[in-house]
Amino acid sequence: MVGLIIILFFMMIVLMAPMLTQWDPYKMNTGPPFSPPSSEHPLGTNDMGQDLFSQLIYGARISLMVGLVAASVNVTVGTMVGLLSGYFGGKLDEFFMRLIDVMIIIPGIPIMVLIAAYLGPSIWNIIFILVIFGWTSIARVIRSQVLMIKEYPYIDASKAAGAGSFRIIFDHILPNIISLMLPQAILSVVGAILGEAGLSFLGLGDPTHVSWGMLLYYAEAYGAFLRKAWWWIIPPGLCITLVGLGFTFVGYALNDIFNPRLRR
Amino acid sequence: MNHDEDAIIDVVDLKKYFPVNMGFISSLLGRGIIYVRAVDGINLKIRRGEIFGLVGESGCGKTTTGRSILLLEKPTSGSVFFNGVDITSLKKRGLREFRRGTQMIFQDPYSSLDPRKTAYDVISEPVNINKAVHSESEKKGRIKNMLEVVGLTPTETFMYKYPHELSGGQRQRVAVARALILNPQFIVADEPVSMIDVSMRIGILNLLLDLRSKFNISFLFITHDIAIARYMCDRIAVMYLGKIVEMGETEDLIKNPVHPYSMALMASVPRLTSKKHDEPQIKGEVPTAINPPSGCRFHPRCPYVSERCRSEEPQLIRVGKDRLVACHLHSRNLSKKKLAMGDNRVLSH
Amino acid sequence: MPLLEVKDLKTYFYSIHGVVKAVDGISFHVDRGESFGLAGESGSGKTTTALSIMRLIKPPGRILSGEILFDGENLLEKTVNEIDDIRWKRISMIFQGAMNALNPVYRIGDQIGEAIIHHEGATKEEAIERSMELLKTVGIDPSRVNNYPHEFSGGMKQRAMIAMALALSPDLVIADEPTTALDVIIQRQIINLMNSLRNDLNISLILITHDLSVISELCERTGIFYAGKLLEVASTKTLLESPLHPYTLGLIRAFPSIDGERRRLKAIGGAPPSLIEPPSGCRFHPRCPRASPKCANEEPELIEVEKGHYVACHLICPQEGR
Repeated sequence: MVGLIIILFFMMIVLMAPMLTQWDPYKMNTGPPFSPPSSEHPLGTNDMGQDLFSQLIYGARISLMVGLVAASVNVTVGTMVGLLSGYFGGKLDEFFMRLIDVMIIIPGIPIMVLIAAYLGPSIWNIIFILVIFGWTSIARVIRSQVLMIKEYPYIDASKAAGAGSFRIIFDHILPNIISLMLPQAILSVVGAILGEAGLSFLGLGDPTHVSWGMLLYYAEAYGAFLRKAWWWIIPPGLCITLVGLGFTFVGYALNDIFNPRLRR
Repeated sequence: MNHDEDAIIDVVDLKKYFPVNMGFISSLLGRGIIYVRAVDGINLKIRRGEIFGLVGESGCGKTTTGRSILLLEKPTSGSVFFNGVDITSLKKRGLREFRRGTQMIFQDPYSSLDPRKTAYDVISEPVNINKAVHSESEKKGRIKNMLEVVGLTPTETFMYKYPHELSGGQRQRVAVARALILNPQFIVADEPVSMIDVSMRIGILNLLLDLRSKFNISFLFITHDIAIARYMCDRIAVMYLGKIVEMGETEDLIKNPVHPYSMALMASVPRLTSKKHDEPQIKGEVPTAINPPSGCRFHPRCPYVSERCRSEEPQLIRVGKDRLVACHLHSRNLSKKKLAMGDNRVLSH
Repeated sequence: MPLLEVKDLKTYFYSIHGVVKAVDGISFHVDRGESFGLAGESGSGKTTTALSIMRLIKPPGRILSGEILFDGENLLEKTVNEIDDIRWKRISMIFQGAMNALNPVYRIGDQIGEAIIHHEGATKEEAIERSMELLKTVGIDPSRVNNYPHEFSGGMKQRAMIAMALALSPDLVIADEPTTALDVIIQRQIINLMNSLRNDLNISLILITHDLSVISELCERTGIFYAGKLLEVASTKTLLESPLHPYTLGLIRAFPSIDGERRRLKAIGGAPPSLIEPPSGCRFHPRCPRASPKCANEEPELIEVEKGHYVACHLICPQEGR
C-alpha cells in the first residue's frame, strides 16, 4: 500500500512537471549559483545557476522513463526466452542456459561501464546497456516455473486434444506464470532505476537528459560536496531511494498476494 | 503389418525406453546411455465398445503404455493402429483424425485442469482447437449437454466455476466432459478414481460404464486396484516390469490366474468377506526397470522358477479359450502337473 | 476395564473460514489386545481423533471437551511431561504417509533408536542393537540398520515406521492408513506383518483407513465415522454382513470387491458435507435414502441396539423426543 502511494506520487510529479515549477531546468543563470533554498528556488541553484527544483522534477521523468522502459524490455525478453527455452528444451534450452551462465559470470558493472564509455553518452545507450544483461535472471526464474508447469496433466490433455505448442504456451502456460512475472517485473524496475542512477553517477549519462543520477554526478563533479550544498545532493538521492522502495514494496506485496494462492 | 479389423486399437510390439541422465563426466568417459525400459514389447488389441484393463503395480509401465498409445510419449519402437491406420508413422497433419477420436482422463483431478480456466473454458478447448463448431451458441449448447451427461447439474451453476471451487469428484467429471466433447471412440483412463473419495468413486465409474453403453466408446482402463478392474473391465492384461504376463477375460483371470505373478497379485488383494485363506507368498520387491532380470523378468521372485526361466524370455502363448500367458510353466503342456504341485506350496524366505 | 476409552471427544479447528468441527462428540472403547478400526472417508475425523488421543493437536486446533481414559487415567488432564512419558512408551502412532515421515539425512537405525535413547536413557550402542532387533521383527535384514531412508523401498520404509512405533513396546499402536499408497503385494505383506505382530506381542491396535477390505482383514471391531461423528460401531463381521445404518449399508454397497457377485454398484448420492456448517440433525440426512423429517431436526444418539452393536439412526432405534 505504502509502495503504491509512493509510486503514484512520483507519477503525478512526472505528469504535472510543467505546472510545478516555473523554471526551465536547463536555463542557466536563473539565479546566483550555489544559492541555498529560497522561495524563488525551493531547492536552490547549481553551479550554473540552474534551478535545482525543476531539475529534480524533470529529472523524475528521465529516471522513471529509463527505469520503466528498460524493465519492460527485460521482462519481455526474459519471459520469451524463459518460455521458449523451458517448453522446448533440447538444444535451444542448452544454448540459452549456457549463454545466461556466461553472462552472469561476466562482471556486470565493469562491462556496462566499458560499453557506455565506448558507445558514448545517450539515453538510449543507457537503456541498451541495462537491457543487455538485465533479462537473464527473469529468464531463469520463468524457465524453472515453465519446467514445472509443463509436467501438469492439463498440458497433456491439451496435447491430446490436438493443441499445438504455441497454443499451449500462450493459452495455458503464460496465464499461469503471470503471477510470477508481475512481481518480477516490478522488482526489475527497481534494478533499472538504480542501474541508471549508478551509470549516470559515474558520468556515463546523457547530459541532454538530466536524471537524478546525473544530478548527483554534477553535484560531485562541480563541488557541491565541498561547498556543503546539501540542497543539491540530498533530494536526488532521496528520490531515488523512495522510488526504489516504492516499487520494491509493491513488488513484494504482489508476491504475497499472488503466490500463496498458488501454494494450495 | 497384420492387424485385427475389428479392433479399434491395435498395439504391436510397443516399446518405450527413457534414457537415464548419466551426468557430464560419465558421458565423457564414453559409458553408453542407460535406459529405463518402461514398456518393453507390448501387444494388445482393444475391440470396439470394450473396456480393456491394464493392471499392475507401480513401475510396471501401465501409465507409460497408455500415454504412448495416445502419442503423449513418442514410442521408441513399435506401432499403434487406430481404426486400421498406423498412427505412429503419421506426421502432425495426419494426426488430426486421431486426436479427435481419442482422449485421456488423468489420475489427479487436482492437476488435470488448468487452474486459470473455468469449466466452460476447459470443456470448450478441444472444440476450439479442432474448430468443431460454427457458432458460439452451438458451442454453449454442446457444453451444456456435456455437463448434463456427466451429471454436473444444474449446468448453469457449474459452467463458470473454477477448479478450486469444485470437489475432486466434480473436477473429474469436468475432465470426463472435456474428454467426451468431440465424441471420441477411444479413451485412456489412467487411474481415474484413485485420488477420489471412496463414496464418490462408484459415481464416476458408473458414469464411464454408461458412456460405454450409450456411445459405444472403448476404454483402456489403467489401474492398480484389482477390485475396480473387476468392476469395470471386460478383459484385462497384467503387466510386470514393462511386459504383459497374462491377458484374458476379467472374471476368469481374476478367479483363475495362471501366471505366478498374477496368482500372487490376486491372492494378495484384501478381501471383504471374513473367510481366511492361504496365499502363496512371494518375496522381495519389484526390481528396477533399468536392468531387468534376464530371461523371464519375474524369475528372481517366482516360486516355480526353473533353469529355463533364468535364460529364456517366455512369449505370450494361448492357453484355454481366451487366455494368453507368458510363462514357461505353460509351454509344452507341462503346466497342469506343475501347477497342481505348486498350488499348496507356501514359500517364505 | 477397556484399555482406551474415549468419551464424548470434541476437537475443533478455528480457521478464518469458521470453526471446523472435525471431531464432534465421539465415544468408543478399545479393549486390551483388541484391534479396532476407524473407518470413514477422508475428512471424517478419524485422523483428528487419533491425534487427539496422542495429544498432538496444535493450534488452530483445540480439544474442547471429553475424556480420553487410558488405563483408567484421563489423558486430557495430564501435564505435558506426563504425556511425554506415555507417548511412544505406552501409545505410539504410525502416521499417514509414513514413508515420507523419515528424515532423509539420518540413518534408519538412528531414527528408530532416537525414541529409545530419549525415553529409556539407553546408550547409542544399546539403541542400535535394539533397532536391529526391531528391524528383524518387522522382516527387514538387521544389517540394514545403517542405511539411509532413500536406500529403502516404499514397503521397507513402512516396515521401518512400524518398527519405530514398536520401539518402546507400547500397549497401543495407532496406525493411520498404513497400507494406502502401497502396491497390492506389499500391502499384503504389511497386513500379514501387522497381524502376526499383534498375535505375537499382544498389542492393541487402532487402525484408521477408508478401505473396508483392509478393515476386514485386520480389525475385530470397527466404528464408522462420518463428518466428525460415529454412526455405527460393531464387530467387523456384523458390520460387513448385517449393517444397520444406511450410510454403512451405502458404503458396503458402493465397495467394489473381488469376491461375490459381479453386479452394478450403487453410489451414495451427494457429497461429504462441510465440517464448518454441517447439516442439522443427523449429519447424513441429506444423502440418506430413508431420511425422515425427524432426521433433519434431531441428531440421533449412538445407542446399543444389540450387544456390542451401536447405531446412531432414528429409523433403526426410535428415540424419545428431547
